[in-house]
Amino acid sequence: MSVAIDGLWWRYPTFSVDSSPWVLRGIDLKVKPGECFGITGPSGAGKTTLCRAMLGAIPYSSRLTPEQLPQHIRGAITLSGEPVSARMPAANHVGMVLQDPENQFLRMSLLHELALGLQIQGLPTNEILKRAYESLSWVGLEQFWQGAAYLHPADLSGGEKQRVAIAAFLAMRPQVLILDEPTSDLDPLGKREVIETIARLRKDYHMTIILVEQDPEILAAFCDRIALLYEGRIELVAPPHDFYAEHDLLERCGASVGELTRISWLTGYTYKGYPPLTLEEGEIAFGGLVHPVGAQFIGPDGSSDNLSLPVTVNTCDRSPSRGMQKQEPVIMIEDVWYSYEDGTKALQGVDLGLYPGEMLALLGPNGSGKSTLAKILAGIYRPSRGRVLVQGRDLASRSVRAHLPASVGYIFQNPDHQLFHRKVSEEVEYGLINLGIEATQRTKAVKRALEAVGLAQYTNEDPLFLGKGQRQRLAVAAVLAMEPEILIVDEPTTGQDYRMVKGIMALLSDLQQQGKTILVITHDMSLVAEYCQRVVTFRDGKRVFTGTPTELFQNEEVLSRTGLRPPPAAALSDRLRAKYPDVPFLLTVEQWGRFRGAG
Amino acid sequence: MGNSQGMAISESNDADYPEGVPQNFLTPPPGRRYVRSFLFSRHVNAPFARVHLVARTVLVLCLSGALLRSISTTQPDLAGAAILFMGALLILALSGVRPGIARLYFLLTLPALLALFITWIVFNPVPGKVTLLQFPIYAGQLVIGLATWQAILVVIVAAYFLWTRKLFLGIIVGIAVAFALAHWIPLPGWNIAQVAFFHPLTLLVSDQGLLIAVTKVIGYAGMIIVTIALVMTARDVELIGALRQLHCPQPAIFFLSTVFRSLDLALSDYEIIRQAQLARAIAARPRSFFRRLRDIASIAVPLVAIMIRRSSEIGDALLARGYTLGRPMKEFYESSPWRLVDWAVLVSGFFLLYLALGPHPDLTTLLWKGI
Repeated sequence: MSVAIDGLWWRYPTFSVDSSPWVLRGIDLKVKPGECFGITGPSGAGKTTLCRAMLGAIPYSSRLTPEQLPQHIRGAITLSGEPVSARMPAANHVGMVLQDPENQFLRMSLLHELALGLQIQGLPTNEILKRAYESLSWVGLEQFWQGAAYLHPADLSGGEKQRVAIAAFLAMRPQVLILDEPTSDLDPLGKREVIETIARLRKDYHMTIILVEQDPEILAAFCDRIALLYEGRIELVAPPHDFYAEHDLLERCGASVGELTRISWLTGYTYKGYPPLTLEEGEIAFGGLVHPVGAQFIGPDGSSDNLSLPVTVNTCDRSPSRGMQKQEPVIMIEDVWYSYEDGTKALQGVDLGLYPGEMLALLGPNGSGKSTLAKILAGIYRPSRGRVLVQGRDLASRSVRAHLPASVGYIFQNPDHQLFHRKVSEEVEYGLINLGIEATQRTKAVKRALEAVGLAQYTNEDPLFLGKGQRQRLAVAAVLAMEPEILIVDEPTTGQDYRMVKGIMALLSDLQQQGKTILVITHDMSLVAEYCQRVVTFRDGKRVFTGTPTELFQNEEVLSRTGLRPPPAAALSDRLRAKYPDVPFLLTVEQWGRFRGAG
Repeated sequence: MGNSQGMAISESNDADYPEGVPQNFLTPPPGRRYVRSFLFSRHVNAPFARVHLVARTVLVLCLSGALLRSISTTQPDLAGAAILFMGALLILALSGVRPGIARLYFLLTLPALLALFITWIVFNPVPGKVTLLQFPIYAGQLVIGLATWQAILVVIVAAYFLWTRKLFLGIIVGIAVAFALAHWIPLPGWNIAQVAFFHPLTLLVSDQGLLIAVTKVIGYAGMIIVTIALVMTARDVELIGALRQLHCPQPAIFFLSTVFRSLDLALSDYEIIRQAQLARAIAARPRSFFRRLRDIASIAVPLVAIMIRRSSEIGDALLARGYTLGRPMKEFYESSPWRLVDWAVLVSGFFLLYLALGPHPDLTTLLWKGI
């Protein structure tokens, strides 16, 4: 066995008398050489802890005495037959790529980053050079070899950073490579680069890979077997088809499940008795569901429409964007340009209108100008050129920008960047104090905001000790308390599990129902298809496309230019429409669930 | 070995060079003119960056020492300071700093230098051959009592606060008005007691005072410039190599390089946190000095929380590479060879050290005598 874990229990040491709960509870796993083994599960299930245990960081870095060890760790881990002990981490056998590429770079040049592990191993200079170049070639980045001593990690894109991190471990020739959610912080292009690299490592080098992922499409595409970790226990280990057939268990544990699987669960159509995992399988599985003549769309009230003519089921049936555009825009952007101090042109002549009550998605690869535009709208940046009107007020005025948080709320991607106080209520009150709101009104606003996000019972807690999902909701509450009409949400679902994603999107959806205008920056196309009425795509600081999600996901040219891919439900629909043109374009799982073919 | 312009690091023997590995990893990437350093970036082929880091550091320290000598209060040497300042400017020009960044630093340092000039003039009454201005500020005694000007000051500040809810400008205007009235109109006052405290203060501007102030400003500006040049040209690789050559303990070297890497991350986190504060209406209302201090202090909460979370991952990343405390590390294109130009820079440094510690050259007096 490449990796064997027998009855592993672990709990972290604490500074108090009380013991912390067990994070890992009797883990038994066996990974074969050359296998790609997936691990999935909700946030807090113990996935990263399990990876750290396999690396040997647990219990090595906890510095427990031999007497304390039995209180914290039980069971055993062996790598290629060698035990991983408290005194000897497994670094020479195992490489581990983390979620945030920034945190794993230890040097400030690409050459030395690749060489670091080999320098520690004490290899001769020429061997280091040879391995560094080889590993860079393996991840398809040999073009960066010229000047590798000059390239700073910050000069690379997200996908390139993760591939360099993988290369740094490949150079060390590990027996096992652990990838802990390596794609969750990446844009679609970076995600694809990393996925292709993993595929190449499997195909060409037969490396044993342990892949921790939330994305079911990636797990299903690459893993021989997948394990479901829930509350520190392995609940299921199975090949992908068998794994995603366990409907009840996966639902109960809140595991992320692919759109094709969900459609299968909803409609009962399967591929050889299993939920389809690829579009090819989906095409076969759901071929029976659709029919060229007489296909029906079942409305929310149970009524059915005959769809014998090509029909598009619009996702925005709650508040159609065409109707919205008859109203006065709440934000008007005219020929906006923005250049950073280093001369980078982040925005080049952007025009855009944001209409009351809509949820609009800003899409595009990293560095395309989405966040820059959002920060201009929030009054954080001042445009180099052009005009921005928010509710009729020109942001050229410093005073207007300073008071903008009362109208435009900006929720940052990482909640940890925006929590300034050690008490939940004080955190929510912070913006209100800054706006000069009176104490009695503040108290009411804090209560309302915390109730809206379901954190009313945590009023006196320290935000730093809340879970990530709760901290995210607190960040939303802190902005909501200022009662802005417009909300800008930057990557609300990055690195979150299925339930957290659903929770945060349900909250945003409720706010939209209450009349708030919402602008979402995201790479999650399923979210766009399900919740957004309008999308705007960017590339190189220019607006490339404005339209509905349906229009975007049918526009191959725009998708290709902006590196975007339609969500599986839409891609499946597109494929089936090539065969059966009368089938409507279905964007979401929910629409597929409501769709009934004549068969 | 390939072209290694701009990076004078040790090179391996060509005979041992591994087959199939291109030899261009020390050549600047195509199209790239600037490379990142500790602070901002520098030109890839900057001449000053080609000097060994130890020689650069010695030169900067010695030049600073010579500048300190030239700005001595007892024997200011304006000409010497000016010549050394020109040397500092030359070093900055050779350091390959982006012109925009250099201009920005000049703009940032100007207020500090101006403040230095003014405070020196105000608080250091140096008698000279010509007195330009003499004005008593404090008689050396604290007077306890009541005066009309105090009432005027309080009224103005209070009225301004009630009107605008702001204080700072009110205090400034109040002091100015009270001062002017007390100076021009004999306002009544009632002294209760007089206590001797400190020594009398007089605003005295003389030719000698001005000379010292100007010399000090030029000297400190020169020191700032060479320090910027040093920091902007230095890279972590060079620091690690230089420390290795100086036989520093491996844990200390590794600790320093990790600290510099973490600082890089902390700076980007700080930027986002400041933006998050703006998004929470921090600039919506005028803030008192203490409120501003609290705002700055509140940055520590997210910054520390993020750094703790990051440090855990950095620790894992270190362990994953097999690093444990005290484990030796192989040298790999980090140490620079000591070359002729480094000797030349070192000799220049020692000459400047002689100027700093040896007999005072006093170029100003020499030039004056010559004229």
